[in-house]
Amino acid sequence: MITKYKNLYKLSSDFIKENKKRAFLSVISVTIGLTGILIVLIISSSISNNLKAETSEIKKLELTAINEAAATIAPEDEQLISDYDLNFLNSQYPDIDITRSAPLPQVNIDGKPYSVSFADQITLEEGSDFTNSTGRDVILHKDLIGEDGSLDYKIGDKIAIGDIYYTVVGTTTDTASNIYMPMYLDASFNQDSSTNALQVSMPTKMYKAELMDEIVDQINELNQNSTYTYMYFDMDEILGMLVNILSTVAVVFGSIILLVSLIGIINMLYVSVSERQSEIAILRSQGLQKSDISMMFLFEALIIICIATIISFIFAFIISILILNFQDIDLHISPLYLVSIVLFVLLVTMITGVAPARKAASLNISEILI
Amino acid sequence: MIRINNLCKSYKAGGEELKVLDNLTLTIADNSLTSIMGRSGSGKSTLLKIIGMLDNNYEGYISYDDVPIKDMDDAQLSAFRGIEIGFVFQDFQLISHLTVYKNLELALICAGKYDKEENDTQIQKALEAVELADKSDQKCRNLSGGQKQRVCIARAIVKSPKIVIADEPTGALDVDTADEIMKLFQRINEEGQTIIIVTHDEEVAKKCNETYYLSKGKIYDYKI
Repeated sequence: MITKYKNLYKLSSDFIKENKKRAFLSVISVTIGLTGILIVLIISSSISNNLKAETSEIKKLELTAINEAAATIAPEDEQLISDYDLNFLNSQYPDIDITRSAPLPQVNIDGKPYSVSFADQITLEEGSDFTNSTGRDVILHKDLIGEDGSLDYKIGDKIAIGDIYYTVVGTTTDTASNIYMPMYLDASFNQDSSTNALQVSMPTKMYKAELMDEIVDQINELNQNSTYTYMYFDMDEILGMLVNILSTVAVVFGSIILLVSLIGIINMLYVSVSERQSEIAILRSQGLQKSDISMMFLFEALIIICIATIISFIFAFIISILILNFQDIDLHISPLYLVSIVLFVLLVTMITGVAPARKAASLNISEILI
Repeated sequence: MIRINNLCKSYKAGGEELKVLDNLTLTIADNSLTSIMGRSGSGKSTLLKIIGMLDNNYEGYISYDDVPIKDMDDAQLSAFRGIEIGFVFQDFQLISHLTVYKNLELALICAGKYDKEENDTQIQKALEAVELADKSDQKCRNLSGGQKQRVCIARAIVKSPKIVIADEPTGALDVDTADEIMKLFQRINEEGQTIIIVTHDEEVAKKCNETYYLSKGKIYDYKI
């Protein structure tokens, strides 16, 4: 049986060698189609993998506060999460990690940088009053007061942060920051509102939406003076959606190219059958079975496809690397994915080869020969 | 021995059934050199197709050495055709872009003979029999009509079949070449192979041991 197939394969390869021009054109047509598919797949896979690699650590949800009242009252009232609230939330949810989306701001006072925290509850030193603070009050760390500190300010002094003066209303021994401001703070202080957002890292399988609603409830409970509306952005979800769109586009384009290519292969095989009716009839008259003729055509298709596949891979990789380098994206494609593509292409090609091979086998040889 | 009993074959043409072979009965003995003569449309080529197992769509009975062929499937028919029957066609039916050697080798491979050394010997023997040993490496398209027909005969005998079926083997050849080809058939026949020749040429028929005359799908005469 193996010897028979070996000889059928030899017959097919001999016919290809004898019809080099036609085989060459067939290989080119299939190569163009396959190269197109592979480029689309390699590039989309690389982009997807790059996105995934770059965002693998961003399993975070960004929680942005929108103060519904702010739009009508004043920008100073934009919600900020105090360190106290942040610590409270983290203690409430030990399995997840809640952080600010951007580090706390620094301010320059007398040309030196100082860290700033926003607070509504801190440990105050005697003589301090933070409970009735306004947006223009600050609490300084005790080391910054008096002769031992870098700043020579005392309670009641005005301190210039940016263009705005703030009144020092107290001192604290809390060491997280140099300067504490009330949680209601002029938004312009931050230059942007990035500190308004929280990042919540959690295991991917958690129910994100429900958990976020719960956290929002917690924050609103902590700040009972006003209720805020929050919206959240799931970076993982957004990137996943982007990757899905990219993959879908790749699959659609790939399918169109594959379809065109397959029509080309079918057409080529049909033409080949028509052109070689006489050869087929001769071989049948010499003893080849119908199934042998089918097998010969399938071998032919297989040889052409294998050659085209190898060339396509070389071309597709070269072109893809050039395109990806131009866009500064690393080439990422898993070997398993490549093997699946090859197997899929071979399978589909063999399926397309079946109809022409059947036609070849079912030719009425008696009409052709005599 | 080939036995044909009550063979009928008809085609549909323009909605009407056209009977090509009508209750035909004949016997062809082993080692005979038989010709089947008839005018165009007499049914001789159809008969040849059926004898050569190229057409299995007929009514009646045909057997080779008492083995009926009607019920054989494609695999059995192909195997039988490959091993036991050699064909010689009027228009040669060689694969012109292949060499003489390759054409003969193909016949052996198609018949399931894969031994390279044995095939080489057989091909050499067949080419010597048709006096074309020196043309082995030539492409068939570069040969003359007479040479092509001899290659066709070599291809028919290379696998040592029991029967050689020839359809108008001299039809495309000049008188001298046709004479040579007939002598070749006679020699092959003397070596023990059954030869069946379909012809409309009386001269060819005269060189055969027996002749069946066909008209309108029936045998109307038989000469030894």
